[in-house]
Amino acid sequence: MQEILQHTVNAMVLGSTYALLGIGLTIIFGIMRVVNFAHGELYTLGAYVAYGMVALLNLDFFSSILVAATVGMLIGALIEFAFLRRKDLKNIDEVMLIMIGIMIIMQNLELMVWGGVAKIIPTPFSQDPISFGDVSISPTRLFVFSIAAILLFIFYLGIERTRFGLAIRATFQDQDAARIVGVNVKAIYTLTFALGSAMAAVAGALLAPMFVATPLMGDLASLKAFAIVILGGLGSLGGAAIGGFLLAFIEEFGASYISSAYRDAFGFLVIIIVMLFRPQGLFAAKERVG
Amino acid sequence: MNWKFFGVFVVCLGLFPLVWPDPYILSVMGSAGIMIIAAISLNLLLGYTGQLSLGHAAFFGIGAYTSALMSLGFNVDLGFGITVQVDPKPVWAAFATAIVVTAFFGWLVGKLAFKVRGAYFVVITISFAQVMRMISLNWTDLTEGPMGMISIPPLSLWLPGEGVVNLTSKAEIYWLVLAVGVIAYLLVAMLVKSRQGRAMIALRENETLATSVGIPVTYFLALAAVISAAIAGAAGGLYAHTVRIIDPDVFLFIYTVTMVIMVVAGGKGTLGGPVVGGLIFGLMPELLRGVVQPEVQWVIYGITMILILLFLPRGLVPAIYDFIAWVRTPIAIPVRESKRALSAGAKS
Amino acid sequence: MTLAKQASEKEQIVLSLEGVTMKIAGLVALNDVTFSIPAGKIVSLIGPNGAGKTTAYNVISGYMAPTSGMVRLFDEDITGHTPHSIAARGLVRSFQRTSVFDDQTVFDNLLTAYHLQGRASLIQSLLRLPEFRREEARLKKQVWEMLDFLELRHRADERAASLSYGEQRILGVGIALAASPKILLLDEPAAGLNPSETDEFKAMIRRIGNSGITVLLVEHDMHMVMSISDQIVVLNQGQVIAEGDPQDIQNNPAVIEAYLGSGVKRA
Repeated sequence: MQEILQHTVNAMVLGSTYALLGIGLTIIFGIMRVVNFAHGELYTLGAYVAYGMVALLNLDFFSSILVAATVGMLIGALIEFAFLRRKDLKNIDEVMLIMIGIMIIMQNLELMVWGGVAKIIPTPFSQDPISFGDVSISPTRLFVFSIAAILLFIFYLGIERTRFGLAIRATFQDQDAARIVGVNVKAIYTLTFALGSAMAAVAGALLAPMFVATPLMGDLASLKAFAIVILGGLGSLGGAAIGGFLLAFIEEFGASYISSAYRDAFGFLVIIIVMLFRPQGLFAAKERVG
Repeated sequence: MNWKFFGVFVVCLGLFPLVWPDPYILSVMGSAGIMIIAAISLNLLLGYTGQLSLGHAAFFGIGAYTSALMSLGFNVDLGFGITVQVDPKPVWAAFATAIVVTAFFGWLVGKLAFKVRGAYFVVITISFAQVMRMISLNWTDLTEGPMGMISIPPLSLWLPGEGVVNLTSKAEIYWLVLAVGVIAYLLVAMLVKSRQGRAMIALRENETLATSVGIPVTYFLALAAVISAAIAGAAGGLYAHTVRIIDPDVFLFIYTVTMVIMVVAGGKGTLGGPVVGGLIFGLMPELLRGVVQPEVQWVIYGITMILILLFLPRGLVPAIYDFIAWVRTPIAIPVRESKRALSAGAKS
Repeated sequence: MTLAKQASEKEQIVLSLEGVTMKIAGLVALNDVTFSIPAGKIVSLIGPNGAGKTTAYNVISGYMAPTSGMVRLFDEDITGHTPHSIAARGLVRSFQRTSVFDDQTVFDNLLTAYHLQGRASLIQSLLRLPEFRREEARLKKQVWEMLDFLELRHRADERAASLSYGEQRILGVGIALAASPKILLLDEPAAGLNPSETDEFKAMIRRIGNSGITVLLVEHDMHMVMSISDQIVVLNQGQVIAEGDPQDIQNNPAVIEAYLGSGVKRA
């Protein structure tokens, strides 16, 4: 029982960052129909920006997360502005291939800048775990979970309770209608891409201290983001949040009770199974693509 | 005219090792050739049938592992007291088995493609390749895990006067790859210019209309996937028996991306596309080697791919054809259109 | 076509609706509709907007099953059959929109359309066996004949997407004709065509009619209908209000009333 509780706590921490990662990807897909292969690279970028700020510029860990978010946002806006604004890019496959090109460029630039050696990001927290009865959690993890939870809540409020959120939701549902009622769809596109990228960067900055930062970490992050989004239903915001936690639980419990070697494989197996029996995802009945 | 050109091209390639017997160049050409075969197979699915499969490295890897395992033999415990033991098989038999096994996986993926399309199909094919990679990494009893499989036997051939020869020299490997490449090319060429190929293209162009003229969607999607996977499996088998070492990295996403770049740059849905794109991107690493580090090379790949997608979205081969047509045709006023413009003008 | 053959077909009814009623969400879209279409004729189904034309079209082609009544094709009850099985019995419809393979040449568009006439197996195709060669030659000959029929021979090597809108429509009908239908359904084929394109389209429909294929047009362009139909069926508010040749229809007070009442003055 105590063991299960401990795994649950671990899964909640992991799940909160997965949810950030998934929402960032799904909001871009839902609004722009872009399958963002560079998502994992923005996640990596966030981790390295945080590392650079803390380890090289001696900035404090908290501000470094803010810097990571800002950089992610700027790079995201730049990608959207430079590559995705062309009118003739109607074909979803072509956009996907362009995003793969961007992914390759970003990943190798990261390799060139940081080298192949993993970087450890120092945090101001002590290494001693905090114990609640039989369950313990490291202060870093507790911090990561709190920040991710707060961000998810802010994001929820932003989407549901602000005019900007309304414009995003409107564009999500029907672009043409949104344009008619005066939503600046182009601006929404750029903002969406910036926002989605910032969420990936924050997820990277938050997760990196729990593990390490490596230039190739983006590959798996992209694939996991796809898994999360597909679990929840491509383009469903709530689904992505739940999908994030679900994937974390599947990985945590699968690794503990079935095989730790296949930890990263469980997510993909689940994708394939979900696709076979419920292609629209577990939670959304919204639509299919294709 | 096209066939003559093809014949001359193949003969030139065939004579190449005699003209320039540099082992290094030949080994570069050999590995480029294997990637070109893989690109030809991807082109059938991506270019002709219009299904973006981003797990194509999985077929390549399955082919490589199956062929290696069958030729080396294996003995695994599946649990529940069931063990499977396979004695080493003749290399060509192993190679053939690899093609059949990959074709079966192609059929599975093709069936799936009927259920899910677009972004979903892309993600599911990527996941498929990832699962294969995880299995090859972790099922060490079967695959030796990250260490990879070594001492894979080479393919052999009976030659008059010389008996059975192992194909191990760079020139022999080059010719072997060329032969398989020509077969793969001809297979796809014959397929797409037939009733079956037209049906696949129709699915890409307009699925609703294709259905309405009586083309069964499921059947042709599966057929395209099976043939495509089988060719990719053959490329993987060739890789296993020529490089003679394989590790789980053959399943890496980056190999799929390389194939995609070759097809897209050369021209998807054209026969020459994967060959032209494959030659460029297969030889470019060697040209850039020593000049720049591999990361820069990949950045150049990425930029080239984006530039081609933005400015030559149909790829190089169609662009070359268009250019030739443009040079050849004098500008003339289309008679019919001008007539219509006149009559319309008269009415108004 | 010989006169004798024409005479023998005169009595034959290709398609008939008997008391077809269709209720959609409580609304009566078709109310006891009965009419029949004789072989080899060009018949138009017309009516103001909301008269039930599209519903009738869908019921005939099998996309909807009627609430009650019967649809007969060559004396066979096809009520509730799937579109596919109806098409296999010789009733083929041409899609209103995007009805060509854009990126293929006009020639290949038609060659693809002859898919069902092909029998060559995969092995025969891949190895270019004699069966395959014979079949390809036969199909290509048929495509050239079809191109002549459509008057699109000079466009054979062009991409379908580069054709004018009117030519794309004609090609679309050609694709439907490749299934060698006995009766061809066209849904508002003239919508969006300019006057000269409409004239070409009409000429083609006449050629189709002359070749012995029965044509059923669902249309609200009265000009087009009046000039090419052998027979017209007028629907209004789900009911047949008139049936007859163009002359009768033009002078029928109920028809004038229906059209004027709905604000359409083109008749």
